[in-house]
Amino acid sequence: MEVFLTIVFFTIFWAAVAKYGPILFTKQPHDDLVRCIFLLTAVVCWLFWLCCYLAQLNPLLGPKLNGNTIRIIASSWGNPIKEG
Amino acid sequence: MRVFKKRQTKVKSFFRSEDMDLCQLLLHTENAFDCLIEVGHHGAVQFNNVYDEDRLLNNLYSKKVTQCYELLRIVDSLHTYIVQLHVNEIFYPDVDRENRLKEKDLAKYSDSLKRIHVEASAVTEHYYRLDSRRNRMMEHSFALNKANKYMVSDMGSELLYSESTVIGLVQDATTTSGAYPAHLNYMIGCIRADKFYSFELLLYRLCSFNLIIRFSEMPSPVYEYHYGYKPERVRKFAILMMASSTMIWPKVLKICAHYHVNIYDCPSSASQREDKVKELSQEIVNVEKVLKEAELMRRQILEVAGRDLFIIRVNLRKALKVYDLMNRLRLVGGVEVPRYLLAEVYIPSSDVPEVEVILRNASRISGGADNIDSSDEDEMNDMKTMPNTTPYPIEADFQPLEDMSAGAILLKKNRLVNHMPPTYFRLNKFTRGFQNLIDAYGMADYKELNPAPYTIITFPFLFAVMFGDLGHGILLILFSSLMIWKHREIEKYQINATSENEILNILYAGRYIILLMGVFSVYMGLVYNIVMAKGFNLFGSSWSCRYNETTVYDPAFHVTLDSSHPHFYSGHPYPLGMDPVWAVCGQDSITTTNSLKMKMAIVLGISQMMFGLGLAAANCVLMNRKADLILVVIPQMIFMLCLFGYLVFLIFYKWMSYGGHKPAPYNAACAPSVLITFINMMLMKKEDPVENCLDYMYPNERMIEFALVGIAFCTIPILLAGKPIYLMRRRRKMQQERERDFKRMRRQTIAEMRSTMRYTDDDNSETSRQKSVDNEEEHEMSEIWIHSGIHTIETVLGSVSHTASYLRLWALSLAHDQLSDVLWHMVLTKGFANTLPLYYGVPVLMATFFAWAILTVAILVMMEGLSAFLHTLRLHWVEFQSKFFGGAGESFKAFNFPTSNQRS
Repeated sequence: MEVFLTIVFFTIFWAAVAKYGPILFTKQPHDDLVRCIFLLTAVVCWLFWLCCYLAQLNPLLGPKLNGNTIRIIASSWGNPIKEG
Repeated sequence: MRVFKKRQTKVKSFFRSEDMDLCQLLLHTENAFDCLIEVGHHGAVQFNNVYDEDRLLNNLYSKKVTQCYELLRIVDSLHTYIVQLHVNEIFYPDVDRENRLKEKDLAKYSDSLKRIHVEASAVTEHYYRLDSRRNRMMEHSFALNKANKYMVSDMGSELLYSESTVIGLVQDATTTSGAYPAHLNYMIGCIRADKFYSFELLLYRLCSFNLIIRFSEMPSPVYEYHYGYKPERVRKFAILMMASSTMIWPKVLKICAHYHVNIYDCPSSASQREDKVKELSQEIVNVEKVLKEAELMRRQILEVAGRDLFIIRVNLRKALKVYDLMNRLRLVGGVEVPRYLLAEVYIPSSDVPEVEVILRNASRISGGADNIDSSDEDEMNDMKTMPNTTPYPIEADFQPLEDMSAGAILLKKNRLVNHMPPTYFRLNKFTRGFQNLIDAYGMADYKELNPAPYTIITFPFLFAVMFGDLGHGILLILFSSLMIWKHREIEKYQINATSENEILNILYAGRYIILLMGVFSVYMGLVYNIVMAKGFNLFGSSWSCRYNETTVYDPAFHVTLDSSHPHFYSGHPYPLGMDPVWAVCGQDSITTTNSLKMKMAIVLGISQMMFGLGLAAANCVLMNRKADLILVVIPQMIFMLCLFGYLVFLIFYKWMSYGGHKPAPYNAACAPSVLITFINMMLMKKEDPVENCLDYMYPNERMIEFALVGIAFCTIPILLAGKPIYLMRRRRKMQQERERDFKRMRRQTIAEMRSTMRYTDDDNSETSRQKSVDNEEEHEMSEIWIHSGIHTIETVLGSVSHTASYLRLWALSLAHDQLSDVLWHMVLTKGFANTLPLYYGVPVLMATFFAWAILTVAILVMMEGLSAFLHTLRLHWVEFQSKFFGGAGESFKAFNFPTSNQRS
């Protein structure tokens, strides 16, 4: 569910960029070029983000960590090491 | 009214080239020059067929062209004088606007240039003559001094004469009365140092010991002046020649003449020689005073010349260009009294009204450099120039017919032309850089789709895929923003610089490209999660590690987080970009990032190629090429979609369906390789399934794959034979229609006898249509078949190689990432990790940081940036534009005067 919401959020974000971005450049002589630029930007950025997101959605392999890295992650990312 | 104004102000962007109008331009000889000067400044008119090698000149303006060349030669001569004396030549940056040339100005330029040239030449010649005279007197004085010293003091030790001769000479030197006649004859002169030795050798061979030569070098070189050459500094020797007999002097004098030896008088007594030296010194002082005055006068004249020389040179070059063009136009009118010049021109359709206004305004100027203005004509000109103040003057009826016929006429042609109009894009400073990238590959055909608008985004984006790093992107943004912010200073520097800085010109022309490359690199840095080789954790990693202290106590302990366990992987990925855990797990992340980047490269590559094919379809629709659309482009799209579109589908399906945390048969062990699946699809073979796994990715996979391959291979014969067969059938139809028209023409003859006119019109229209059709039949059918075969092979093989070519996106991204990592670990980390005392450690850290910073800018930003730029350029030129772009057009070469700068 959270995955679906994230995809919907980013899709709506880039769609808004494509639709309302040209409004910032309104009353200019090159509005068709500006519209083309914003649409292409939204499509390519959304596609790249989507590929990166879906590739990490179902990872086949996990990362390989050593002891020092685990201690650093534990102290920095909020995963405390338990006693015992 | 508002709608009309709104439509009028809207400018069409450069998705396709501008509409071109073929016009005929008729210029009156009286004001053709001024009209063409204004046209050259506006720069929107291209003259057709005037610069061909076999173009015949009308020779009406050959004298003018020669006159301009002559005046430019005078300008160069004056410039040479100015450079010699280091006089300041004033540079006017606004010469194109404030000092616009009119034909009347040429007479003024000619008069002033000739007058200044005559004065400068006369003063220079006078100066040269004075300097030569001073040099000769200095030579004379020096030679006399040396001869006097020699005869007075050194005589006894050098001569090898008999005792009586020596006694006689000594007596002569000691007494001033000169009672005894001299036994030795002598002569003094000056010779160039480089000629002296051959001169001495020749005299020795000729006269042997009968002649004695003594020489001495003058203290400083002197200038020699020869007409037509630059002044030359030469070393000189003063020589003294003595002989016991007078019979050899004629021979010696001849040799001296051949060697350009200057012979000077030498009085016989010491006192007379000393008096002569004093006299010469006084004359030298006087001549030097006059020389100073002459130099001052010369400098003043050249300063006056330097004040206007730049303007005159720029305007003379424009006049030369205009007269050369006028000499190439066709004369219209009477043979003896030609009055009009005719030219065929291309003008962008949107510029035609502006050009008409310019020509109308220029026509009102009283033309003719040879006309002599009188007071009455001046008054009439004042009356005529009053209407020019209004932008659209109202022509009065009382104007004489002569003035109306003298105006320039611009007529549009509507006839069919065989050749393609030129291609013209209206650009601004933002879009010019991207258009230059496309024009370097090829100029678009007329009304062909222009790749440049789409390249504005796809080019920086693909560059950023290879270059992506948040820190390096920020560096690019800062550099390009500096160039954009300082664009006025840079433009002034470019105008005023005396030599070109090519690297600065290229970077300045591409500053907006660099800006967008930086912006997209920042975005890629966010997605790749890389800032100068380091990651950052904004949203919390999806991976966690929960262990007891005893488990991680062992320093050699390492573990691979199990993606199937909820303790380690939360189930929802990092929302923006790569998870930061891959940045901290070291070299093991290459497996994951390589797989990710390879798949993304394939997805982006196939998307761009499909976009290119979509543009090809749009191009066919816009150019009304239905046959090309149905028989060429659509089969290509079907081929690409069935094979490589399916590859993209496989990539996404595998991402969605298979994962380490899913149960068999969709777990990590059962995940099939996309590449092997694709190869098996093409080879139409099956593999035995792995234990506990399915032999398909989704139900009915085999059947669907076979169907897709079958459809793809069905499009190949359509690509190969579709268009040739269509052309053959159309050619047969044309032949049949022509035969019918031929029969109808016979009946037409009978109809003409009945005086029926409407059939004649129909026949003419059909004839003109046949003429247009006949041009297409110039190609042989064999050539069409060969071209179609080549295109089919290129399409099929190219789709495979172009898809593989996009993998360079992954390769360069990996190289950039690894180089960045190497710089971090091999350079900067050593500075952080040093354990020296504080007053040693801080300088070491500073030095390490500077080394790391310099290497980052030099290698990662500049060298890697250039490499990524070139690879992106190849991806656009070959992989993207080969789908739809012909690039065989001609650019619009307007008759235009380039902006004047210091070097012009």
